[in-house]
Amino acid sequence: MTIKHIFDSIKMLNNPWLDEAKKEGKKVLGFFCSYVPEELLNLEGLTSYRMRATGSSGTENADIYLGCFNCGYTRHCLEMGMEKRYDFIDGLVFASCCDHLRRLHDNWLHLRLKPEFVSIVDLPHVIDEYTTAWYRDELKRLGSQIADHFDISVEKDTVWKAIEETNNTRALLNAIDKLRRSENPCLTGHEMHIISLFASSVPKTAANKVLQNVLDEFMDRTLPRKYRAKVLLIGNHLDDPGFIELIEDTGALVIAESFCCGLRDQVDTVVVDRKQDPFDSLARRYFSRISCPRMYGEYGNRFDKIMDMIHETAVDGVIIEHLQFCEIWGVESNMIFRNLKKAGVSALRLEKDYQYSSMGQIKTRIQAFIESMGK
Amino acid sequence: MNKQKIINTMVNISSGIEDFLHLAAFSLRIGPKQTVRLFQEFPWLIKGLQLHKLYKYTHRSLPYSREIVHFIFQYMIQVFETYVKHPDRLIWFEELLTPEIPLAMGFTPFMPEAIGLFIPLVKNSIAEGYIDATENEGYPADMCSFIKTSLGLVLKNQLPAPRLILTTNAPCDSAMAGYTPIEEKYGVPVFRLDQLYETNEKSVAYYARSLWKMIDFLEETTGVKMDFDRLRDICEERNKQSDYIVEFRELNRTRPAPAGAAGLILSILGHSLMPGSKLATKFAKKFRDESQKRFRNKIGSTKTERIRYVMWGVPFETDAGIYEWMEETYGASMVAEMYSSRSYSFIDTSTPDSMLLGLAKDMMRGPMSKHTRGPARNYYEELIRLVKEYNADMVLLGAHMGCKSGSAIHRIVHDKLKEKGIPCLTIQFDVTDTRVVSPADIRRQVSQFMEVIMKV
Repeated sequence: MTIKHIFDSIKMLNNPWLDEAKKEGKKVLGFFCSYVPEELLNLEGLTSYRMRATGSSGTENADIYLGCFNCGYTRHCLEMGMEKRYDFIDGLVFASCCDHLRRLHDNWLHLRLKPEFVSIVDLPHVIDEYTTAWYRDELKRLGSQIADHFDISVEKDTVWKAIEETNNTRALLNAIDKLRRSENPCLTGHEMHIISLFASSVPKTAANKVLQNVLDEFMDRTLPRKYRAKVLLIGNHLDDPGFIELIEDTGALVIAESFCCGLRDQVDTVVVDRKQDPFDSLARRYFSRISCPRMYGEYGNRFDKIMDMIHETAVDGVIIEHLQFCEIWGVESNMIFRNLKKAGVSALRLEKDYQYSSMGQIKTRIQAFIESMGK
Repeated sequence: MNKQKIINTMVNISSGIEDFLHLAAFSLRIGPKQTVRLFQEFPWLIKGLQLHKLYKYTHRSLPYSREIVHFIFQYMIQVFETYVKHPDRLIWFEELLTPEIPLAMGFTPFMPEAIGLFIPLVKNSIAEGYIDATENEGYPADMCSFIKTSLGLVLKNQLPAPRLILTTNAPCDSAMAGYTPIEEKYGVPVFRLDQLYETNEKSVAYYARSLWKMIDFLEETTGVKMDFDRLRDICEERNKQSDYIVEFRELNRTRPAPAGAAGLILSILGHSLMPGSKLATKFAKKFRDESQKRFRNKIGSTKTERIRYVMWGVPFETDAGIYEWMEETYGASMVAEMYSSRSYSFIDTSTPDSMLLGLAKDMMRGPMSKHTRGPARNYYEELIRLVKEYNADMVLLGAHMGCKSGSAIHRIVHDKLKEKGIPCLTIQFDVTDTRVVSPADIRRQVSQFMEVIMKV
């Protein structure tokens, strides 16, 4: 299995691993937000799939329903849903994450789009013991809904099994990620993103086998070219590795990241203690990882973690990307940008649409950014 | 000039004199030096003094407008007097958080969003300088301009600085995100209330628990103890206000609807800014009494009522005269709208728990909180019910472009209204920025709809 095979598989919405799983009778559950726990969508008989709109060519129909100022990700997903391109999905789980995703959920139901099973997790905006307990109860409710609809077990042992399987995926991703932190990185940010997208698009058992192969294969690898600068990439939803490829084409190697659909959501493992309530462990894992800015009152913690990453990885600069019309990230990115500047860290802020346009312009800005760092 | 116009002019002058006297007394209380300082520090106050301009757009609704102007003047006087004399008592609360709890602790709660609401009523382009200030600082241009106006005022140091800030995640992501830079700017403690997606017994209890935590926060941060007896008094007074306002609102079911748009939309001021105060009760009672009088005399907001409409979404802030123009040109009477259709639920004052539960319920069912934060059904089910209950002929949907949550369900609203055979005019505009869609363009769209679809 080469990186090219993996890349080919994420160029499409569906992939051979999902086809295989479906042949075995597994149900595919798509999810829209990093606060939907993948583990619960990987219970025995299920497999999770991070929703993306790969291959969407426009949003002409979706724009009738969602506003033209809603984020491109949600509009493209709705368009794909209206075009029945998600027929391989057997269930969808949303979280009340942001205005855009909440309204995607409303329109999905209004248009009676497939699949039949659609659920939403009522997600708190504040992180503390009480809200973590609320989230835990929401996960239990979700677990029961899934179990009832798909006629599967949501017993303690079954949940722990799914957690362990997903933990393995997370541990492997972590190990692969470390390969790009060495003096001579063994893989690019572009490749890492392909691998992480792959891990969230195929059944975990299959993913783990492939990731182990990738880890073995990449261990002694040397990158074929030299890069001018090392950067940290942070931002919101990014499910097209082409963007990182573009950054790296200009000579900046992405050696660390913290963005949605990347490793930010995938590397932290759930603490396993089979004597405990697995839902409690799940809730704690999701509420203790670096938060999405939709969690308010957490800006300081997020910024501190970014600074820690900058120091640990010794990057030359930070690139902040975010989707147009996401006001949560629009505000957050401006604040991070300004505070990084104050801290003497080189930073570049890029706003983009879900489907890229003006790539030449973005490339020029990245090139200028690298030069501004004296590289 | 006919007799009625002469009477109106006289009453307006006397009303203006009353407001002027309140201001003069305030100025004497704080001294000339502080008065000058306030006008230098907050240049928009000059525009605020011209709030009487509202009368120009509300000829048939003058009794309501006068109360609105009086109320705003007295509210602002209270805020600035606290700012000058007791700055440690001035706290900020976000627009959808009702301020009974800080009031019970002896604080003066100031809603920064109120300025963005009031000043465009005087001059429709005035918010634009603050919007530009926000965008020039790198904040997103596509954010709600209401929030951009508040943030611009903050960035330009043109709001009285708070001791602490109380905020919520309602009604939208813009409002929620906008408070992070505000927190950074002032460096004061911030408490964030967390409103969940669904409104049900469980989530109301969750919100009530947030209110308990807010009390802990206020006590710990300021050293002031919560006074539940005072809260009981406030809630009981508030219940009286609610009765008046609900009656005022219900009277609009009759034909002709007595209260015009200006009265209807701003009838929420008492509950939003100073609930539980004698001033707010007086405000609510005057509204109820005026509508009762009009009902008895069969006086409506229009000379001849030809169209009854429900305004939904965001009202047109930047064209204060549009509603009277609709009343006069098309006999179009606004009978209900989203902000004033808030719950005004009765607060059970028997225990601290029951009061906090009642306040939690009220806040979660407040305007926009339930409409744009929760599921789409919250938005359209109430609208359809109001159309039926108030015998409306059509819906006017104010589609504020910065409201991403609202814009994303307007098509659903259309589909639902279509099923019921209710005509709907949706107008895309910006709530405080006339450069996006001009007031003239909004009026043109209204004209076309009224003439072509409603055949008026």
